[in-house]
Amino acid sequence: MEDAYNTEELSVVREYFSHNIRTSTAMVVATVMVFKCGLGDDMENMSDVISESAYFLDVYDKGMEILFDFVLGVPVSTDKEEIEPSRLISHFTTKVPITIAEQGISLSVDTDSFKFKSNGHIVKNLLEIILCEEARKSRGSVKITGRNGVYVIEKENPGETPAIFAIFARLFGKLGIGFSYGEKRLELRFGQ
Amino acid sequence: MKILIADDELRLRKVVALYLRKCGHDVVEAENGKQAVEMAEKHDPDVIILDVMMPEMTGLEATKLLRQNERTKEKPIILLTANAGEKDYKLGGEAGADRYMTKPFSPKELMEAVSETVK
Repeated sequence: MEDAYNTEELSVVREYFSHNIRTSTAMVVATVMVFKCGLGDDMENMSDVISESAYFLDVYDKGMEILFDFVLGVPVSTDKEEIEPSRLISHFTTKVPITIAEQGISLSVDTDSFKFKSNGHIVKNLLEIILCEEARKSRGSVKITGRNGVYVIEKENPGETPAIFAIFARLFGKLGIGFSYGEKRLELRFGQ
Repeated sequence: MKILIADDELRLRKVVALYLRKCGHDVVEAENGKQAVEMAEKHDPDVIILDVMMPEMTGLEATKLLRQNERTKEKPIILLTANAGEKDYKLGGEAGADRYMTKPFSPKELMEAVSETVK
């Protein structure tokens, strides 16, 4: 029987989430071990480090289900809820302050209170993954601006663009959201 | 012992380096494969620990370069990876790594692997 799904995309999804889940788990294991060895004085915020890793694990675990379902052709739910991107971004920055500080990121956020309706579970998770990617891989200045549903992330020193962004763009497209990405600039057009 | 560790995950690298220093080792850090190759020449480490997936140059590419260099070709290399597939183990061996460890790992396990690899 011929596969009805794209095996190359399945592989991209598996590798992306496996890598990130294993890396976040490694962070928890290594931090606990170092703490157990009495090195807590050197990293007084270890419990916060573990909390941030747990947040990353939660985001990647949800994302894995969403992306596998999409690549396997599970219909995207048409259920809609109100989404306010600026609130999501603000929530994200409170979740990972240590990562942002350790990466030496100078984050500036300037967004309006634009709201739109879409599949909240998918949109929120993909946006969180994109923000996680930028928080963990970028260095220096990261500027997020949002006006009338067009959100732009500009990076001074970007990390590598993950191959999974191409699948994100297709999934966002199913929800009527434009997602374009380059090395130093990402753009999301919500509610188009 | 002087240990070179390369990982683009800054926080994980810092935590592991902290543990290795606590064990009494001299640790030098690199954030990608290219930097690791340069630092291996400069610092002459006793063992090299490389993450596989790094920007600019992967751990596999760095391993191949280190194996081609007269000064570093005999250095013990441990690859750390978040890829646990069968093909990944094979690629690590083909690149010339002495040992392949998958994430998550405890720093204690890594230290044991370092001791065994250097023997």
